[in-house]
Amino acid sequence: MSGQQKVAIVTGGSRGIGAAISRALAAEGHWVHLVYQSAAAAASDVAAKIAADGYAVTVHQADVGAEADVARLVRDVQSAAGRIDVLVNNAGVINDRLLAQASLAQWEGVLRINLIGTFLMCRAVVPVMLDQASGRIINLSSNSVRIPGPGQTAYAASKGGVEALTRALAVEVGRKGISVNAVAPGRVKTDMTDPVVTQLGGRAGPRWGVPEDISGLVAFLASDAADYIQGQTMTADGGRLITRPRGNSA
Amino acid sequence: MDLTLDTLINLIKEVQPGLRDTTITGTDSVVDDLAIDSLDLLQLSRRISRDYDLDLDLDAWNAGADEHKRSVSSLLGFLAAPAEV
Repeated sequence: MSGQQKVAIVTGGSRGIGAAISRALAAEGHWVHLVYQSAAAAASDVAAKIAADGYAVTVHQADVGAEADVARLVRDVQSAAGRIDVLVNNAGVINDRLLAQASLAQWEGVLRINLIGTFLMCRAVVPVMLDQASGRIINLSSNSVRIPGPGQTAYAASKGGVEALTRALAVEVGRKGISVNAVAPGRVKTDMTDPVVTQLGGRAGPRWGVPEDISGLVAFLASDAADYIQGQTMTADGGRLITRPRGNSA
Repeated sequence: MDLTLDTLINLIKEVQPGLRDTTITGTDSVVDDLAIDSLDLLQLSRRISRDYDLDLDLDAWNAGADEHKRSVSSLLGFLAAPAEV
């Protein structure tokens, strides 16, 4: 691998955490293939800034929940770059609703992007990484798996599924030089989390995170330094999970 | 370059490095003797496709396992003439 530029795919790369991950991986020398679904202008802006800093970036449009889009995306990246070293499954949606009021379409829509999208991307990229006998897959989960807010059954279930997929896939392909890990952010200020501030806790506890709090961890997991980390979910939440609620003196 | 028994054995050793020092013959069962699992076979089939432009239909080959015992030679024969193995 030495001397050859590493190639990374970042889904949901146009905004928030995905944009920060794209910038971080580019700064680490990866040729970043930034994937967006609908935010074309935002994707172009992120790519323009990465390119202005002198790094390699290519923008792709794809719906990660659509099998044909995923096949085309991976084919295009392989045709252009000849390899895929890092896959960051960051694309995700939040569509919170109380379970009793949730429609099947709403529930399936969340799982379609967050969980099935992760599955489709992994399924398309793993054979490429098998050919290389190397690769890094990093899936974005959420603290909502462990401390969900009201209305987050779909989101929490989808991310719980992502963590289980991460462990199972790590068992499956780990011995082939492919690592599969997940990152579970706490509350991070992005366009996506703005509407759910109440559920995530607006004031008490650790500060709100910023996308760069997460991108650094993803860049680490993509690096050679993380070679021995396999099948793990790493939390980055400023300590929220270990913080005792105020007023509880027990 | 044609796929031969020796080159197929080398590919098997590539996907399962633990077999590097093992003497493999055509009668060895890929699965029962060499412990090549489904992921190894997927990796092997992609390398055969990449290096020799041959498609390995694993389901079709596995369908004849009772007869050919999934031997290394049967795999080679199947790749040469899929309908005859």
